[in-house]
Parts: sequence; structure tokens; C-alpha cells
Amino acid sequence: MSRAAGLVAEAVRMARAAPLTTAVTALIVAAAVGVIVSTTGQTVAIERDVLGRIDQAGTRTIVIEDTSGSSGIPPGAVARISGLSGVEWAVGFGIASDVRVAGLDGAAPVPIRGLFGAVPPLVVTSPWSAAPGTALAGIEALRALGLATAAGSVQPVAGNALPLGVVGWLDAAPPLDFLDRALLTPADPDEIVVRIIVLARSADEVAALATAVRGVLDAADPSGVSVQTSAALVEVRHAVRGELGSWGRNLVSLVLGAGLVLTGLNVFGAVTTRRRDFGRRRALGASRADIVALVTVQTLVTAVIGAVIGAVAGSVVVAGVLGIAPEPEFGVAVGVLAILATAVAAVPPALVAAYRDPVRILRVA
Amino acid sequence: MVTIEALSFGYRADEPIIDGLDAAFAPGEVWAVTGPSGRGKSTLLYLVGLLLTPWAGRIGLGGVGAANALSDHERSRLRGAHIGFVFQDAVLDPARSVLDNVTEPALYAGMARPEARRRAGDLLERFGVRLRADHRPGEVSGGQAQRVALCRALLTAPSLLLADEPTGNLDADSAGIVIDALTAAAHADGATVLIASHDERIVAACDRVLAL
Repeated sequence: MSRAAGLVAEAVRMARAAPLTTAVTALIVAAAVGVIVSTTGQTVAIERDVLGRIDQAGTRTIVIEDTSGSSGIPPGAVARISGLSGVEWAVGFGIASDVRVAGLDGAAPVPIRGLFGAVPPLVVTSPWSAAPGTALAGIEALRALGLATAAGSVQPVAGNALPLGVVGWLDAAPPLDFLDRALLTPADPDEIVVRIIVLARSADEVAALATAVRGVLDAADPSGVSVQTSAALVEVRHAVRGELGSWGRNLVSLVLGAGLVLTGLNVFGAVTTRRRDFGRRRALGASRADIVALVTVQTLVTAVIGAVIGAVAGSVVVAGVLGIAPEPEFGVAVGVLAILATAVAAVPPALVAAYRDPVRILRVA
Repeated sequence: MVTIEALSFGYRADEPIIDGLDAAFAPGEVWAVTGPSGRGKSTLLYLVGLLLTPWAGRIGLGGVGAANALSDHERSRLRGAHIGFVFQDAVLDPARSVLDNVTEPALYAGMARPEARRRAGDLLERFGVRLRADHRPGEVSGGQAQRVALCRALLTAPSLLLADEPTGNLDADSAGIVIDALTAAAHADGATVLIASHDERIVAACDRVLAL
């Protein structure tokens, strides 16, 4: 066994030999972690839930629209926007036109849009190679067309264009859910883009991206292009995050600070009552560094036990109150923070123990 | 060989207890350090044991010319490996067994645990406390506790054994066992033994006397 491993084993033995000190330290750490997880943990869970809802409402979405229909956004704009840093994906659509089931003149017309770029992850589809002349039908569009299955042929209502084959279905989530009521087909090479939807990687990047996309659009008439973001939602998101985050950080600091002081006092009391123990160890060959290591590791071992108990108890409380458990990472992070704070609290008393004159202690023994 | 050159020390700045002391203690010798109370008998032992740092002078120990000038880490290593202490009170850890008390120095001396346990068993046998190996210090008599402390001091086969009033709290029989053990450590094992004591029996058993 190496010297370091021997010291750790000795520290564990010391923790077991001082059950009261060990229990009090574990209790302090467990209480600190438990309070943080059960209070700030609720805040974190609520914040995650609220932010999730806000994000679902489109805080990360940028919609670029050719409001005049003649601004001339080139097809290459979609690829250029997709290549911008901070863009998760971008997809473009052409002008909507109506189609109906071939051979049924009285059937309801359904809009069809040309697709620029790849089908984004928010759209679930049946297998589709995006071959020219094929289309996917949104789940509501299928009903409107009167098709029992996602297979059939549709004919443009106006003009003499060739029929298109409906070869599958699609089911889209917001902000692309307008596709549920339409058909989607690969865009023609000479078609222009009238709407581009961009999803930013984070809400924080939306404002900068909104400016950046204007620079790469290369529209013939930029004045007819609008770039819309959910600025108000982004502000709400920041406000929620700021308010809740600030409250949580303050509480964590307060509780950990109190825990640190209490642990320090407890360890200081323990080393004061064990002066002979440390004097004996020094006489037997323990260096000051050994004494500091023994006291710190002893406290750390105890803190780990307390942190686990506190994190589990706090998570149970949050799950019981809110019905949603805080993320495990949160409990682990709080536990690690509490263990580190406890280690810091143990160092001053450990130094006191290490630098106490062993001779005075041994001579009064 | 333990050497002391021009050694000075005091607990207060203007009150030296030991002032310019020179001495040399050869291996295999048992020295009695005697003198009235307050003349620095125990202090000399703690200086030689590197637990105190002298004001001036040199302490040669274990082939190191000025062991007192080493860092705390180096002095502690030297103490753990080469020096054994016996105190007036046994100073045992009440939370661990007699056997574990004897093996405690192994951690600081870098001795393997199985070797430490084997040697501790032999020492406990030699001093007649083997049957108390699993007992706590609170469950043995004062004389037995001091013998356990002696076993602990001898675990690493130290080249220097320092005993501060080792028989002060013992009855005659136990004191005899301790005196015999200390002299045997010098005469049989070649250790240098320094004993600070007022006890006439000890002074009589020692090879040489250093009067302070």
C-alpha cells in the first residue's frame, strides 16, 4: 500500500473512530445539499419547464419572408444561411400553389410548396427520396384531399403542369406545423424562395443571426424582405433565466457559506479535543503535511456521505412537491460543490492541528 | 552515532534552557540524562528527536550532519524511520486495539503492513502482552500500556530510542521490564538509547550519564 493510500485508509479509520464529529459533519453537508436541491432544485426544474415552453413557442426561430413576392431571394440563400455559425438548420419554401386529387374536379384544393434544402428534424416523414415529381402530404392535407393512404396523384388547379405523385406523409412540429396542411415537393431549379425558416442553436444567438442572415440573403430587392424574430419572447426568456438564476445562485451561496462556517467550527472543535492524537502522530513520524491531509481527507470522506444523502433526500422532496425530479446533474453539481466547500472549511483547522507544538501536548500528557 | 554541537534552546527568547551543549552518543550505549527539574532533560530528548528546532547548534543523526536544519517533511521521515519515542504516559490511541497501536508507526515509516503486524506480534510476545493484542488501551493496566508503548517505539527497529521518564507511572515490576527492554535495545540491537529520568534504578542500569 502506498503512503498516500495508507493516509487515506488512516483518515477513514479516524472518521470511524470519531462518530460524533463524523455524524455532525455529515449532517451539516446533508442539510446544506438537501436544502439547496429541494429549494433551488425546484427553481431549476421550474425554470427548465418554463424555458422549454418558451422555446417551444419559437424563441430560437427566425422567419425570413419575401413579403412582396418579387424580392428575388435566390435558392442558394438557404445553403448560405445553413452555413452560418449558430444555425442549427435552415429550410426554404417556394410560393404556394393549389393542387387537388387528379381526376376529381370538385375535390378540395390543398396548397403545395417547393422545398429548398433538406427536410428539417422537426418534420417526421415516411421514407422519401425527394425525387422530382413526387410529394409528401401533411397529415391534415391527406384528409383534405380525401386520400385514405399517403399514395395517389395530384393535379395543379391552375396551369398545365404535370401531375405529381403523392408518395408519403409528413408530420411537422412548430414552427413548421403549417406543413401539416400542405404538400411538400422538391423545388424546381428556376423557382424563387419566398420563405426561409431558421432555427438558431440558442435563443441568445437569435439577434446576431437575424443581422447576419440579411447579409447573406443576396435578394434582388432587399426592401421587400422581412426578417422576424420573437424578440419579446427572447426578452421574457432572459428575464426568467435572470430572475430565477439569480435567486438560486444567492441561495446556494448563502447555504454553502453557512455550511462552510458550521463545518469549519465542527472540525476545529474536533482537532482541539484531539491534540494528544496529533502530538502522538507527529512524534511517530507524521509530517505537518500528513496531519493536514489526514484531517482534510477525513472531512472529505464524511462530506461525500452527507452529500449523497442530501442530494437523494432533496430530489425526493422536489419530486414529491412538483411531480418532476430535478436533473441528476444538478444534484451531482451541488454535491460536488458542497464537498469542495467542506474541504476548504477543513483546511484552517487542519493547519492549526499541524502547526500546534507537539512537545507541549506530549509533555502535559 | 548521535552528535550534538553547541546546542542552544529555550522556550522564551531570553531564557535558554540548554546553552552551548556538546555531546556524542554512540550506538549500543544507554545514556541517562539527569538533572534537577527545569534543566532541560526532556527538552534535550525532543530536540534530538527533531520535534523541537534549536536556536543554534547542530544535531547529527543517522548520517545527516545537521538533521535539525532539514525541512519538516525530511525531519518527519527521519523520525519515523530511525527514532522511537517512549513517554511517561504511554500516549496510546484509545480508539484502536493494542496491536494497531503498535503498528501505527509503520504508516509514517513506510513499513509494509504485513511485516509490521508480524513484527508487532513478536514484540507483544516478547513483552508479555500478546494476549492483549485485541484489547483497547483502556482495557489494559498502566504497566501493560507502557509495554505496548515500548513495542510501538521498537517496531521500526530504530537506531535512536528516546525515553522521557518512562518509569514515572509504573510499579517496580513493570519499571524493571521497561528498563530491561531499553538496555536490551542498545546492547542487543545496537540502538542509541537516551533516557531522561530521576529514577535511580534507571541511572544505575545505564552505561553513561549526562548530567544537565
